[in-house]
Amino acid sequence: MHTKKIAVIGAGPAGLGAASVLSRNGLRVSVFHREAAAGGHLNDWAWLFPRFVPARDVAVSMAAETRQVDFHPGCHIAGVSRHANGQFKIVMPDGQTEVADALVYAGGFRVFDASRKEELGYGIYPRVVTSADLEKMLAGEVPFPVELLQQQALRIGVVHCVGSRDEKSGNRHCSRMCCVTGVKQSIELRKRFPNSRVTAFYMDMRMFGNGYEELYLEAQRDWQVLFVRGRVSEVAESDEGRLRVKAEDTLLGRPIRDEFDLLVLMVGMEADLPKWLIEDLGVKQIDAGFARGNDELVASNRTPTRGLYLAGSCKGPLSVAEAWNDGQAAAQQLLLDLNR
Amino acid sequence: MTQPFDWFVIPFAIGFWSMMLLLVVKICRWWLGFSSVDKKMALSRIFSVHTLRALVEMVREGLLHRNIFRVSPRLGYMHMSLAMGWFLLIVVGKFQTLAFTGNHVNAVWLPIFFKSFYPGDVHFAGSVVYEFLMDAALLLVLSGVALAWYKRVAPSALGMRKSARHIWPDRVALTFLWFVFPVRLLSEGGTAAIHGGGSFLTGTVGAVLSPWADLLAAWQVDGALWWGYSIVLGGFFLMLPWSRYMHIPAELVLILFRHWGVSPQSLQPIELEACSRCGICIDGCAMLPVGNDGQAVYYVRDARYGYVTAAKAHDCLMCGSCESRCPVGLRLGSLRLEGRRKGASDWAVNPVESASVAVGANGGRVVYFPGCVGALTPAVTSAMRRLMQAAGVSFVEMDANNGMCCGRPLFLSGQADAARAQVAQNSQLLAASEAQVLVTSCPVCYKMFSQYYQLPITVMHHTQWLKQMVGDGRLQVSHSDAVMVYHDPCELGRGCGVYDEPRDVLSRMVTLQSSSDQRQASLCCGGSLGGYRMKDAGRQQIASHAVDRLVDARTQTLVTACPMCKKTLAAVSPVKVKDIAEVTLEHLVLLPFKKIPHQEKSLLVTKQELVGA
Ligand SMILES: Cc1cc2nc3c(=O)[nH]c(=O)nc-3n(C[C@H](O)[C@H](O)[C@H](O)COP(=O)(O)OP(=O)(O)OC[C@H]3O[C@@H](n4cnc5c(N)ncnc54)[C@H](O)[C@@H]3O)c2cc1C
Ligand code: SF4
Ligand code: SF4
Ligand code: SF4
Repeated sequence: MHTKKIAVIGAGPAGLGAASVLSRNGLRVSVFHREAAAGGHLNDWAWLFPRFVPARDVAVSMAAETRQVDFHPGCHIAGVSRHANGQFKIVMPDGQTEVADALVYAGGFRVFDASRKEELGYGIYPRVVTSADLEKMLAGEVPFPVELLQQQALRIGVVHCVGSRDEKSGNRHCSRMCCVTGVKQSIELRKRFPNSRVTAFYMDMRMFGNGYEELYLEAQRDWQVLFVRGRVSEVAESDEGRLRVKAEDTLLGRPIRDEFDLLVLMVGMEADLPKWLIEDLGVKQIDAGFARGNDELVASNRTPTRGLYLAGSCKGPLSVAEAWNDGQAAAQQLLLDLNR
Repeated sequence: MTQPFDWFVIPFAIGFWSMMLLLVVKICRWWLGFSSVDKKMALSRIFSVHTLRALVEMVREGLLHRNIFRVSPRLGYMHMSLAMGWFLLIVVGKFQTLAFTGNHVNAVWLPIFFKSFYPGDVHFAGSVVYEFLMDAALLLVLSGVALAWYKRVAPSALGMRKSARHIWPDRVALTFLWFVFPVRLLSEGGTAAIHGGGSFLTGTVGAVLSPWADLLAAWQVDGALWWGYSIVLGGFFLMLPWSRYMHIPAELVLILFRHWGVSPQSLQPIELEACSRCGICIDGCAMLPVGNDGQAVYYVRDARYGYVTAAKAHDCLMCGSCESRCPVGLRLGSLRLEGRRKGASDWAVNPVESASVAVGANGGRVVYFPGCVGALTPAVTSAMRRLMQAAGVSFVEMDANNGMCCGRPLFLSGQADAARAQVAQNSQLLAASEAQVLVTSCPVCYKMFSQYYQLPITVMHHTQWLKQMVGDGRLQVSHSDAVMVYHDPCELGRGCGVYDEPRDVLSRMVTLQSSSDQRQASLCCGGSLGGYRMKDAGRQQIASHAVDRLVDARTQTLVTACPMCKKTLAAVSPVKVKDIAEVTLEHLVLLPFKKIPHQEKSLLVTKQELVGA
């Protein structure tokens, strides 16, 4: 049994991945997590792309991979400092502190606040929702905008790249997950509302993962989802509460005007790094604001600060599987360094 | 009495006469450029009270520099001491030679080199007083020169953040100017050392130098110094028409012609030369966070020398800050537009051909127009709609299917004719409607509709409408403990002078913070339609700067009254950014059965009935 003690901040897929490897190697592991239940953003999604696995099940099996850890739920870490002897002092909300020999930061990302793009009407028109909201609706946790269910031939619009690849909202990066989320949610909506017609407005379709391209094809072939290359510029509400959308078809180069009963905004993933990580622990950022490891190729989990490791989507948009693997990789890196 | 002469007056005389010749040529050319209406107008006012008023202003601005004093007393003193001191030297010198020679007309160089021709204690009526006054005036100028030196080293000491960068004719002229008066002091001092005489200043310098009087005399140092004086003075005069110092005569001429009623269009060539490149316009320039080269001072300079490019004309947000600061009162916005008009095709904006102004065929007398940017800020427009309903105002929305343009983007891009066509088209549409009041949420539209259209209807910005509604009690608001700061949109504040209405409404609802960058001194948000060449990154830098200056630790919300400002500021603000309409809606006290007072004369149509909540 190692006497070394490791702290993991965040118990999303990445944090759990790290904790599983560390705990199975006999280290003493403390996991600090803001929410009550482990799983991170998995707890906010209903079914995962590309195979519609319930997100809950994935969270449960990830948690089951870890062995003995000291789990601190509901524990938002508001400060960490590093001693001259290389140890980390972690301050918990109740003021108590814990000391660790190494730290894995796996704090994840933040969902883009769609009300920042006022022209899309989020927070103003009840029938404009985000992909994150839709997950809750699909899971049955939140009702769909009321009148919707009574409508026969529903028109549903899906808007890609909301808060990503958009200089105006200060985010140039691509959030990677939202294209396939748009495809996945279009299919789910079609299943849920068989009479509906779904139109998705995209910039490019980025189907990078295994099975994604197939899903995109399925959406078009089996579910008649119409993909239009175009950017939505503004949304207004008609007297009947329908959404009037203005967009530009960037392939044909002509303006589009259309009306929808529901508009789903594919919100992007933004950096959500705490101040202490940058100011007190010296973590650098990439332009998009995410944390930067020592390099992108062989040492992306390491930082200039000895004993501090980065894991998961705090470094940039990742899928669940990637985040989990990255958490395990960070832990492996840590073990190698410990045994050196 | 024959006029004395010495060869050293030649450099001075050359400089002086070449300057005079050029000035006459320039004034003639300006005059010839005037329209015949302007010429007639000017001639008719020569012998009138306008001329007197012009003289008063010339003294106030050309000599005393009151407007610069307002910006910074120390800077004002610098300009005043240079102008006033020099002016006194000329006037007192004139009387000194008059008293001495008894002639009204003397050689131009006589007053200037008086002490070199008549050194020592020369006695004539009032000679001691003249010498004293000449020394006092010299001291005044020298104090200004000292400050000018200091300003070059440390602009902030004179209340300026940035000092204008100068080009070579300016530098040459400036160097001559810096030396003119110190050299004059030395010349007079040296002469006084050898021959005696001089008042408290030159006499003292003479006394200090007197131990070496023999040496000075033997080597004819006084003569050399007078040569030096003549060269620097002549050099300065020679450079004056080519440098920034042209502003001295140009400003006086400008003041005169303004009072004589010459149209602004005709005055533009004079305005270009009346800029002193004082740099006062730089500090308030919206573009400062992205660079110190497109500011009004540089634009006017380039336009004067004729090498302004279309790009330069378009590198400006038209925020109006420079114009409101310029002590000479130059119409900098119009000057910039003139440059854009010339190169308009480069950054053209497409006119909107088919505006669909669906104005109340069915009797809506209040027309609400959110503006084209309003379509991007649905929170503002939907708040306005609800407020109108709550106030019991029946209204129709102009251009609900949008596509209408007030014409300002065309106008600001230099396409004056296309803008006029747009204005005419919209005017017709509005005239055909039964509208009596036009309320708009966009300051850009408000400026356009209220200043460039001749509409037979009342045009209001929504801040004014809110003030009226809240003042009349038609909208009742509560006071919360929210702390907010208000950003004055350029077009609403400097553009239309609407500063008080939003503050009046806001202070009934929240604690309104004040800021050093408010009202006239408001900073442009960077989103302006006035500059299409500005990149998003630059706009965000400008917006961040404005937000930094406005928001402090207490601020909870940044309020503004322009959809464009709201969008631009919201992209970078750490606190929530809201429009005044949204804040009003949040503070609205809904009275379920409010009786709307009957107003006979009100322009606003009310539902004369109970308003349900
Ligand atoms: C709309 C949407 C749908 C998606 N759907 C899918 C999908 O179907 N399939 C898929 O593979 N991926 C999907 N993703 C991506 C997926 O959510 C991420 O890959 C995954 O959540 C990343 O895991 P993570 O552990 O890096 O970060 P997170 O899931 O964000 O977990 C980080 C956790 O750390 C906690 N934390 C942060 N800071 C602190 C602190 N200071 N103290 C304590 N705790 C802290 C947070 O509360 C959070 O719970 C989707 C993303 C979006 C936006
Ligand atoms: S993944 Fe697709 S929707 Fe998301 S930011 Fe990238 S291109 Fe846009
Ligand atoms: S434009 Fe006005 S403020 Fe600017 S430098 Fe010229 S005179 Fe000074
Ligand atoms: S109008 Fe504004 S942006 Fe343009 S030069 Fe003047 S201060 Fe600068």
